[in-house]
Formats: sequence, structure tokens, C-alpha cells
Amino acid sequence: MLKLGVQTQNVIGDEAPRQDFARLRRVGFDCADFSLHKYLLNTDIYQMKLNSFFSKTTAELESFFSPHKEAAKQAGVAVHQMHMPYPIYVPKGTKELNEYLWHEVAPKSMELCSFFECKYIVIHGLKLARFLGSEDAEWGETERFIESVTPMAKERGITICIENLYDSIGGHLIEGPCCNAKKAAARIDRINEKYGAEVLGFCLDTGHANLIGLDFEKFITTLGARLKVLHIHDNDGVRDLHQIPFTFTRTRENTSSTDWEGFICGLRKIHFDGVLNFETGPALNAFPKTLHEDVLGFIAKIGRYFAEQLDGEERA
Amino acid sequence: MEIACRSAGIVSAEEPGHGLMEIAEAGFSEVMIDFSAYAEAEALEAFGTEKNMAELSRLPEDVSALWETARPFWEEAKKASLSIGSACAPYLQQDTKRGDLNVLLENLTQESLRICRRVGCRMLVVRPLFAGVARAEAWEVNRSFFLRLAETAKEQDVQILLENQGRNVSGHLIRGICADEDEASRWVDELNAACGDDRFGFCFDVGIAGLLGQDLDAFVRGMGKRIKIVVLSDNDGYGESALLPFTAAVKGDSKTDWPRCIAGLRSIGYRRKLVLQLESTAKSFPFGLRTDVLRMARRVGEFFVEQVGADMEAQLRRYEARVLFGAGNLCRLYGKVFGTAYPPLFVCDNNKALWRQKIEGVEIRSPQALLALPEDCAIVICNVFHCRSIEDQLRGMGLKNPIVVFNNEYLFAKREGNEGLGTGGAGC
Repeated sequence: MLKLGVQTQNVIGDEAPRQDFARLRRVGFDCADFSLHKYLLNTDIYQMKLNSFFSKTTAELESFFSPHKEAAKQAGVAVHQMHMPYPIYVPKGTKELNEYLWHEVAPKSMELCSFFECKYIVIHGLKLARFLGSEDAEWGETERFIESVTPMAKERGITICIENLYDSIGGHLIEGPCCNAKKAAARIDRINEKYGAEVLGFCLDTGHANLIGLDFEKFITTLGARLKVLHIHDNDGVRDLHQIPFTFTRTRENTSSTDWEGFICGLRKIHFDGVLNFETGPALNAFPKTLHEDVLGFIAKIGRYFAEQLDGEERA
Repeated sequence: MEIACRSAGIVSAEEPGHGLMEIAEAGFSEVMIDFSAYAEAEALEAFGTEKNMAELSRLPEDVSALWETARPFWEEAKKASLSIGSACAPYLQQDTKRGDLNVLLENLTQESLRICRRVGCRMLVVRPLFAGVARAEAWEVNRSFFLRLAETAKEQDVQILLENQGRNVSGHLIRGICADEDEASRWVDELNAACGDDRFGFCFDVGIAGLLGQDLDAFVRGMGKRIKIVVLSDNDGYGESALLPFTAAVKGDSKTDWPRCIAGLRSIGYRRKLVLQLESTAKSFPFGLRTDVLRMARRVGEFFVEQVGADMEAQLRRYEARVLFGAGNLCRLYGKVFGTAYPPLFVCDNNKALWRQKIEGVEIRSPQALLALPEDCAIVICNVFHCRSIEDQLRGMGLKNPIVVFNNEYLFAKREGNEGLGTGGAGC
């Protein structure tokens, strides 16, 4: 059966990581998606309010995260994937801001990924399509960023994963970077061939995909083995809510308005053998603290359901 | 480029005369007939059931009766001097439970093709079959369906246009058949190859693609010349609707990415048909204002023609030298977009206070400086609001130089306006 993972945001704190990781294991997760981005929030970056977290030396950062690493190991939880802080470039940001993001935050994130013995790091492509006039020009900048960290990835055996993102117009969430699976597949292949290693892969974010009505099955099968990691979560098709799968409906029949059947079918078709990882940390906020462990257990149960479905026969 | 108005929501099936006259009075010379007015999706849903027999009133028991019910539309369109340039075949609701009606739909579509010929209409939009069709079989089922239709279409000299579709997942619309430009272009190409002629083309429904958050520029570029009709409609980004473009706006921003739609159409040199689809808007306005709404729709169509048809660079390329008139934001925009490839000799402005200053590194002079220009030097007006009065001023000065209006303000201004990229997407 496939392993289960969940993001650490809202789940693993800095005060008592040993207790938190133990709880994660207890409710049924084998893996963690380490939310490195919570140490430098996107909302702060956009407002150009940088904290000094990544100004620490690599040794200092490793020292800071040593209790987390040790706690995960003790609990038997593997840090399977992590999320680099984002955005990594602000179009109208100062030169200092962007240089800090690109030359300090990104390489140190790679170092920390290696420190956690984590195989995958998820990055956000640059949101520049409307600014530069085309998606291809936007990808050019994203690729330039990827190239800046790829040698580190190759050296440390890390696969950088690009993720399908959204943009916004009039409050309506629309396609952002990496929403074309065919293009993504070709770009991943080209870069991996260049480096002679699997330095680039894909992270499917089901919530982002649902917001722009992507066809899960088609998207997943187009990516095939390039799909390395998952951000599984649900929403109402309008806002990026990071909620628990199967919890949204739009009709009185109350059937799920997210195409989970297509998701399962796609993963089954590509024989996905990665981790079923949930990016549902924010879902905990809606529940009283005393229920958090039950909520996590429920998410794990949904993970087991997906795993069982994937173990079944391929749908005709 | 032709501009047409879709009849849905404006022209009643029983008394089409008034609605058609309003469309004509608004300045349209062409209308798209919607055959679903005579075989409504709701009536199809109830077909053959005991539920609400009244709903069957607009569903002919014999498909050949479709002509008689649609005939008044044709007669009244002629009276209003409106041509019927395109049509839509009947279709099922997206959340239909009826997977058993594909034969009926095919018969209705065959009849629609015959009616097209009778009314002088050369293009019929036909939605692919989806109800009761397994996803893995969608292409094969539709290939057979469309090729059967192609025989009639050839006899009737009508082109069949496929259209991008959504797929209903318990009330949430996701990308359906032909919503992906690769799939849609493959379907059109393979059908044409099977027919041996260009019997098939594509109708791009901007409303659906916008609702699904698609990259409109990429879709249009991917489809290229296969696109024969662009249906312009807006929605709130949540559910299907047919609003007048630019009316689904929040805090000054439309929910549909019109700049990228225009950019895509411009990039493929689109010069075919634009169809305004504004059923919801037309129905929501008081009856007394409907002609005004339709006039506005016509004007919106003209705006798209201006924006899509404008090839600024081609116009600039024609002249060896150029000066700019108007030292404002549009002038700065010109500098950013074309300043390097087509640098101006100088900029002039009526505001004396600006003379001898610089904008984008170029000197601002009095309009009198234009009198010293050779006659083949173009004057590029960088002012949308006063471009006509400036043109009058220049001609009044006796200038015979070619005049170009820099009309890229919508596309580029919108792009500039998105400099806070990503702020709308907390969490992403």
C-alpha cells in the first residue's frame, strides 16, 4: 500500500516537534511534507517584509531544525518532500529583495532539503505571463531560476518539483504557471536529459487544478512518471481553501464536486508509486484544538481509501 | 471581421419579429440563430417522460417540423434585413441525466443542417456528444457522429463547427470535450482529413474557456486558423452565464482575461466572425432598455474588431520615421513597447509647460515643430480620448503626414496594471 503524508504547517510546531511527529505517526502518517515556506510567508514577501530567518548560516539553520529532524526520525516519519518559500521573485520588488530570495533563500532551502534527507523540493514557478506577454517568456524566467539550483539538486540527489499554480483576475482564479501538462512534460524531459539525472519532476496540486477545472485524469496521464509528488486538498472551485477531500458539494444530491474519481483513475493509469501527500494543514483551523488529532486521523483514513483504490484493478 | 448577435434571450421563438428588429436597430446586420429555442434543452430532458408535458411544447414530435417552427425567424430576419450567418444546433443540459437521446440529437442536428441551407446560413455549431458516452470512447463515438453529419453538411454546403465544452462534476464545471487546444485541433484535423475537405472548423466559446480559467491566448494560438467563430460572452467565474463582455467585473477588473483573449486573436490574425452572446444581460435589463443594451453590445463588438484587427507594429513598419503626439501615459507605454524598434524623432504636446522637457528620453516640442517634418513621416497619436480632435488639429495645420492612432492602450495598460502579480493568490 502507498505511504501517506501530510504537510507540517499547522501540524508540527517548533516548540515540541517530538510530540507533534509522534502524533503524526500515531494517526497513520508515514511521511511529512515539510513546510519550509512557513518560515518566510508569501504574504510578507509580497509586502516586501522580510524576516531574518534565512539570513542565518546554513549551520545555524541546520541547528535550528535538528530537533525536528531528530523527532521525525524517532517517530518513524520520513520527510519525503518539502516546500521552498515562495514567491522566489517579485516582479516589482527591489533588487535586494529578489537577490535575497534567489541567492539566499533558494540555495539554503536546497541545503535544508538535503539536511532532512528529503528527496523532493517543491518550487513555485514565476508568475510573469501577463507581465511578459506570454507563458513561454514566463517559463524562460522560471527555467533560469531552476538552472540556478539544479547543480545543487544533482549533487545532493534532490528532484526539484514544479507545481501547477493559479493567477487571479478580478478575483477569479485562472491558469498560472505550469498548468499545461504537455509543455511541462517536455520541459522536464529536456532539463533532465541535459543534466543526465532526474533533477526536475512535477507536483500535482489537486486544489489548484480544481480551481481551474483541469481534467485530473488527462493531466496525470500526460505527466506519467514525471509526477513525483502530490498536494492533495479540496475546495469549492472558487477559492484556494486547502480543505479535506470530499467535503465540497454543489448540488442537492450532495455528491462531491471535485473529480476524485478522475484523480484515482489517473494515478492508477500511471501506476503512481509515490506518497499520497495531503496539503490540508489549514483545514485544522476550522476545528477545535481537541479535535485536531481526530481530524488528522480522518485525513489519514481518506489517504488509506485512496491507497486501497489505487491497489484495485485499472478501470476499463 | 463580421459582428453578429446570438438570438438566445433576445428573440422569442413564438414572435421573433420584435427581437430581430431590435437587433437590427442596434446596428447589427447579422444574427446567429439558436435552434435550441425550438428544441429546448429542458424539453429534451423531459422527452418521453410524463414529467411536465408542457415542457415538450417546443420540441417537435417529428424533427422535420423543426423547419416550420423556425421559419418565422427566417421570415422576420429578412424583414429586418438581417442575414443568418451562423447557427447553433440543439444540445443537452450539461448536467443531463439523459444518455439515451443521442439519436434524437443527431436527427435534430441533421435537420438543422438542412434548415441552414434554406436560410442561407453556412456554419452550424454542433456540440460533441457526451451524455451516455464513456470518456474513453468519446473520440470514436463523436468521430462517427460528425462524419455522418458531414455527408448532410456537404449536400447542404454547410460547415460544421465543433465547440469547446465543460464537463459537469456534481455542479462544478471542469474541462470537457475539446476544452484542450491539442485535443480540439486534433479532432478538427482528423475529421477534415477523413472528409477530404475543410468541412469542419471550430467555434471558440470564450465564456466557457474563461469560466474554466484557461489561458485564452494559448488556446487561440493553439487552434489558429481552425477558429471560424469566436463567441464573446462573460460570466462571474463561478457558473455558466451569458453576460455582455466586461460586465462581470469586480473592483475594476473583469473576471474574464480579455487582454489575453485579444492578444491571442491578434497573434493568429483573426479576421472571421465575432458573435456577441448576451442572453443573461439582455434578459436582466428592463425591456425598455434592451435596445440600448444591444447598441452597447454592438459597440463592444466593434471594440473587439478594432483591438483584434489592429496590428500596430505593421502600421509602424510602413514608415521610415515617426513622431509622437501626446506626452502622457500612452506615450510612456509606446516607449516601453516600441521605443527601441521604432524610436520617435521627438514627442509633441499642446501643453506648453512640457516643451523642452523629456519623456522616455525623448524631447517634447511644440506642435509647430511638426511643420518642419517631411510629408512621409508618420505622426503617432498617443491619446485615446482626444485622438479625433488632435487629428482635426493636425489637418487644420495643413499637415498631410500619415496619422496613426496608438490603440494598444487596453492590452498593455492591463498588463501594466498587473504588476502586483500574485497578490490575488494568497496561498499560491
